[in-house]
Amino acid sequence: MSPMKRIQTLQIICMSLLAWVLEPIHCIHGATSDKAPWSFSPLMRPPLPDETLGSWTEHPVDRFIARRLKKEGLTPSPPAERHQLLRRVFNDVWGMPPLPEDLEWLRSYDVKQDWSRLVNRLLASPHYGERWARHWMDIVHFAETHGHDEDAPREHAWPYRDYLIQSLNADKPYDQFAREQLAGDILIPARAEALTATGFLAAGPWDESSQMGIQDGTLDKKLAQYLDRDDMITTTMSSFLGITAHCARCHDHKFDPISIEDYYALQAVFAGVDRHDRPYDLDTHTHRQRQSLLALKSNLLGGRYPESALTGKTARAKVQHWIQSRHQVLSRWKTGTPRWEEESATQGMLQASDGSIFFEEPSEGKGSLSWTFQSPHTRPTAIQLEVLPDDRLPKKGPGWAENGNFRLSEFEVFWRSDATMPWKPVALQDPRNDFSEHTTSVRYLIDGDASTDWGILPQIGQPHRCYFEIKAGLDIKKDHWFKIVLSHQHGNKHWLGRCRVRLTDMPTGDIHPFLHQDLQQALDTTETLRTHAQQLTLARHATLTHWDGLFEALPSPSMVYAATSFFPAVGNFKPALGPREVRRLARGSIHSPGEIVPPGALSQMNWIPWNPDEKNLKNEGERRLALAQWVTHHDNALFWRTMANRIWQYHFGSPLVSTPNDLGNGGQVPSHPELLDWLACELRASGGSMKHLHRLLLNSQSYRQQSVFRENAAQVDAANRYYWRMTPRRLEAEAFRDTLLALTGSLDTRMGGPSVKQFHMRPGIHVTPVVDYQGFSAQEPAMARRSVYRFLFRTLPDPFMKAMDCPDASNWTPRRNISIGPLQALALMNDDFIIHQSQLLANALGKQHTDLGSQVNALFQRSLFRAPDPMESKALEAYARQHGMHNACRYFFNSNAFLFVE
Amino acid sequence: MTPSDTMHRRAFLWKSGAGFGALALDQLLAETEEAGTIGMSPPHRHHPPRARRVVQLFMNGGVSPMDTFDHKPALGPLNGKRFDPGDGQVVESVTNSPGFPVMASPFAFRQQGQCGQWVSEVFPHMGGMVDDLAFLMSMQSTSNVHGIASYMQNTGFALPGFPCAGAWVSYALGKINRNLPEFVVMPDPRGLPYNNLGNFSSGFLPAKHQGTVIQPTHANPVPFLHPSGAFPSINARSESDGLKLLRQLNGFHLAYSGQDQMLTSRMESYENAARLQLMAPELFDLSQESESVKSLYGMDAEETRDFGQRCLTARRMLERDVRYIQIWSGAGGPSNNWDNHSNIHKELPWIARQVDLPIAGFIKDLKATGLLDDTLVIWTTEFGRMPFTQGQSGRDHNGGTFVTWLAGAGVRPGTRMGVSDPWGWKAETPIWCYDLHATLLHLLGVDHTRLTFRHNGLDRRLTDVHGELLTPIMA
Repeated sequence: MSPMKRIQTLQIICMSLLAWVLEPIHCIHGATSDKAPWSFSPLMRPPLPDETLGSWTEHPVDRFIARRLKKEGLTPSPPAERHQLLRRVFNDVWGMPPLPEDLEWLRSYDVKQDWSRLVNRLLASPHYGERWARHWMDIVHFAETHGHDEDAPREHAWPYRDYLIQSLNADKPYDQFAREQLAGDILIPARAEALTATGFLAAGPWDESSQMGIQDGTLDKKLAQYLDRDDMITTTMSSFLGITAHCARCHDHKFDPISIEDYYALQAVFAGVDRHDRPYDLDTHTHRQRQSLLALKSNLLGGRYPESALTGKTARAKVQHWIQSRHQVLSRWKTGTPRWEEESATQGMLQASDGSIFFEEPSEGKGSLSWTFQSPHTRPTAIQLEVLPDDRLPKKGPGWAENGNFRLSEFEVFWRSDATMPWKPVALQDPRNDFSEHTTSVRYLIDGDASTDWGILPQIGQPHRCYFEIKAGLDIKKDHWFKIVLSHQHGNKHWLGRCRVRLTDMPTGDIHPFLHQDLQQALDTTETLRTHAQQLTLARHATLTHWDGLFEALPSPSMVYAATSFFPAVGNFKPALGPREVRRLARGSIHSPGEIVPPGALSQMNWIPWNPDEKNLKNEGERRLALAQWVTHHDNALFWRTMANRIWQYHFGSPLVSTPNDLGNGGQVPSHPELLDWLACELRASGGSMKHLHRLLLNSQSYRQQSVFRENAAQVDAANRYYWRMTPRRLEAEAFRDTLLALTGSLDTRMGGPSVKQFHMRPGIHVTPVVDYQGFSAQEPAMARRSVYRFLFRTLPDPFMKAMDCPDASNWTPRRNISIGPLQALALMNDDFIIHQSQLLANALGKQHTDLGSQVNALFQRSLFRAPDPMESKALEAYARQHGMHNACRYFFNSNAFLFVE
Repeated sequence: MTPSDTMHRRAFLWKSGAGFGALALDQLLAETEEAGTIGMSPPHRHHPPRARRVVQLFMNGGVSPMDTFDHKPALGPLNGKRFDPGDGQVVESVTNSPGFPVMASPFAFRQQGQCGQWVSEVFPHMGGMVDDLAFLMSMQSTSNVHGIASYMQNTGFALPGFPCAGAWVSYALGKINRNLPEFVVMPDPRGLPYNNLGNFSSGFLPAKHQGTVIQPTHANPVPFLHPSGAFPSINARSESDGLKLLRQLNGFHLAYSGQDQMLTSRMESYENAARLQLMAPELFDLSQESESVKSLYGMDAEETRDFGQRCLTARRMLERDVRYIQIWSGAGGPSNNWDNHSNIHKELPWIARQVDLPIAGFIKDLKATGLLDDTLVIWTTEFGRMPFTQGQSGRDHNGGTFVTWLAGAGVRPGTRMGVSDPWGWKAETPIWCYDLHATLLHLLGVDHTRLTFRHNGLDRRLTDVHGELLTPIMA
């Protein structure tokens, strides 16, 4: 292609690329298929096959499996041996072998005779929830940092993990489990646990730089919000329904009957939520109080609070009360008569009757202003700087810069008891203010760094204030002297034009002087002359103040990082206070917004009612609740099939539908469609009991087959899609770690609570902290917790766990990779944790048995439930004799016999 | 720890023979012939390759194009005036500084080489190399945010969780060397880039394709190469005997569990690990390099030593057929990188000096050793910077246009393509990361439209649904 031609082509590409802007197109273009996939069809219990195969006569699962094996000309494998079964079932259900204290009761079980009893016992243990919660964490891509470039820790994400463990252990009905994760806070407002469930929607990454750094209303910000909801949609629709609704973001779904309208209807469902820490209370009464107060406050700020409640007698009383307390607060803010200081800049200062000072036009670019005055109080608690507009200033100021702005570099305060004493600096702390220009802050006024400053662009022509608490320690009395120095180092005439400095002696909790302009005006208006709107403004504020008082009376809450519609703003990250407007974006482009889309679900699946409380759709929670009910509907076959497929997958090593997050036309068809439907029906009919399904599968003969490889069977079905054997599985990262801890008896069995950081963390140069795994001792107590309690860092994952295929939590992982490579081998040999655990195990074995032969025997019995073969024993003994039992254990941990569960 | 301490400790580790060091090298090499997968045809090669290996030099933070390679004389007369591109076009800037006064480049530009490429004084050494380079003058990014833009350049997606180009190449082409990882990343010792390890992630591809982070100046340059602590009982003998023990145990296990590819592959992985342990010390031992080579890379001067050492290490890796090497200049965060917000006069020359000589030396050395014939070198960044000031004399992020250059295998040297507008504000002929990635894969013999991996219901590609070959700069 010639360069010119190339350029033309590029231009054409660019036209369309520009339209997409932020990589929205990640799906294949094409015409929509109206063809509903197999998985949409109603769920009906298929009849049990007549086929039997040998001893496989009773169990429904075996009959389905037998039918297919027969059809393919395959035969099942013989029953697994005791040791294989034990290792398999413990790993499956607990993710680790029995702990030393379990060995006693385990002895009373004949594994083959008492199999069902053993299965029940394992499922009843809390270790079950710890194991299976981790599977769900893969699916929903849960981690405890934001990801992206500002990868800040989420210290309160763990309650969601605990919610998962508790729910699984309680065998919470699956549909309820799902509903709570989507809208538990709305469904069961009185239960804290249901609120922590919404950590589900917040599990994925969050783009802090875009969400916190970019101003509301800009395209970049809107885009960040659309992308944030896209993550919620994908997590919801993939996890619960195994459907790729996210593919309809730019165009109708290529394979499935999901229109772009459907996609934006789902966007609208989540239009009112963000991810943020959310308070909850373990005490039910407190929880209810706080949540209803929060709901009231959110309604009031979001314009959904009934006006009648703001105009009644009670509201008026609240206003009166508030005005009185406000007068009291304000009356204590006082100033003193200023005197100019000689070192100050040359321009004149004019004092006004309201105590403010007007500074005449500066002749220099930079410089300082200084004056003194006498303290109006004994023991002042705070000092306030008001910057005020003035008609003499450009654009009314408050600054002398062309655009009316100022940039104040430092605000320094000095004190002396009388003119004979030297000036002493007054230490200020806890700065607060009503508004800061982007990238500036009032913090910079007291940081001693003249290159950082405070400005107020673009809020020109309005008054602004900041105040600082005065650190205790100086014995300041009334009429002592204060000196103020205002330093301007920004240049370009960014001087302050008019200001006032005042002091108060009220307790610092009660001095907040900032009022919104409307509120200030309403307050300044004589009561009888106030407009209706002004009365409402006052009533709203007084009501909020009243509620704030109630909040303060509550004990301090627990926090969970979850979906929330109401939280204190951080930078430019602010709550929606009601659903944001969602528009259908043509080709997914933020530059091509179409019509506003109301909330909804997949329109093709019209046999499932979409029943939101229409009156209440302004309340975002109603939208999520409606989706929760739609997703978990009895007739939503996708919902039941998807979970039945997953449970099968984690027991049998491969799912019946090999694309567990895509049961649509673009995914694979099930290897055993009737079996899948039969299991899905069982799950639904049992009231959503996942433990019922576990029991069912674990008690089948199919599950209890050997895993031995057979060449002739492999020629027909190398991938074991038809389950002619049990698929051997490598221990996952977590199971490997936990197994070591269990074997050495060093496992800390405490459940739940804040995640353990198995690394050192210190502040980084920016938001992301510096994290050191290598330097964290393998002997630290934190290392002994189960892996599910590890603190999960998104962009800085544990290198050992990563080498063992612990997934990247930036993306959804319905099935883990099992990779093999030299770096994994090195990690397994040289990781400090493994070296340490090998030592512990060798010590324990050495205590129990004096001779190496018995030690090796015990090692095998304990970890593999069998005696070693003479050859294994000989090799290990010989090695241990030369290099110690600890090294022998370490290499044993690296052996295939240990790493693979048969 | 001082560098000499580090060196000492490393030398100690190796001399004390931790690892499989005691195994005879020829024994290991003999075994690989049967055990390794080398020589098998690459899983996703679609046509004969032009390049065998790739080195990507990533300047983290956003290199200012109009202060380096994209000469904009039109900014001169506008200096200090309010930036107005006309036609009512809206000027937005991420960090929202008011005014947008134009800032002409404070650096002198001149045309270099036969090709006449303009280069500013901040790159005197690269300036002398322009006839070996092919310039993409108008790369564009959809984002002005470091994290997202870095993901775009590395993975082709604006969201986290996708495999980066190096991981895709490893997945596509498999192994060509026996002893070292296929995809190596050498970050700036001052810190990881934006997105930390996210930029080198294998995403949904198997973990073995992720970038192996190698820190040549660290005591343990390859993760887990040796135990991090001192364990006297773990020594060369214990490890070589351990490997034999593993062979015995696994052999027995294989006999009773039946032939299974997964099990045999695992056994091989330990042999490969042993070779990695054996080869690594030699790889990092730069004492074998002559003083003149070291000074060619700037290792004799403080400010260029680090980047030079990493470039020289990269050359040694190329000689050993590491497939994909990424070298980073600049840490994440607001400083120590190319993110020159506050003062372009001071910040840019400071960071530019650290890489200019080493990169020029690297290209010269690759040419001299013939490695450039089958190695593709890419110099890039995540976005450019604004033609107007931020604060006093800095420049803000600008995804509108930026410069990338390529050199080596399959590249037509001394050429350039793409044009930015007269101010360097926006590309007039945008070139996307997709085009660069498509070209990169093409030169390696891979058709970017056919290299797919199914994830979450979609056949994912490095180039998503885009990608045009950059034919004008291809040889």
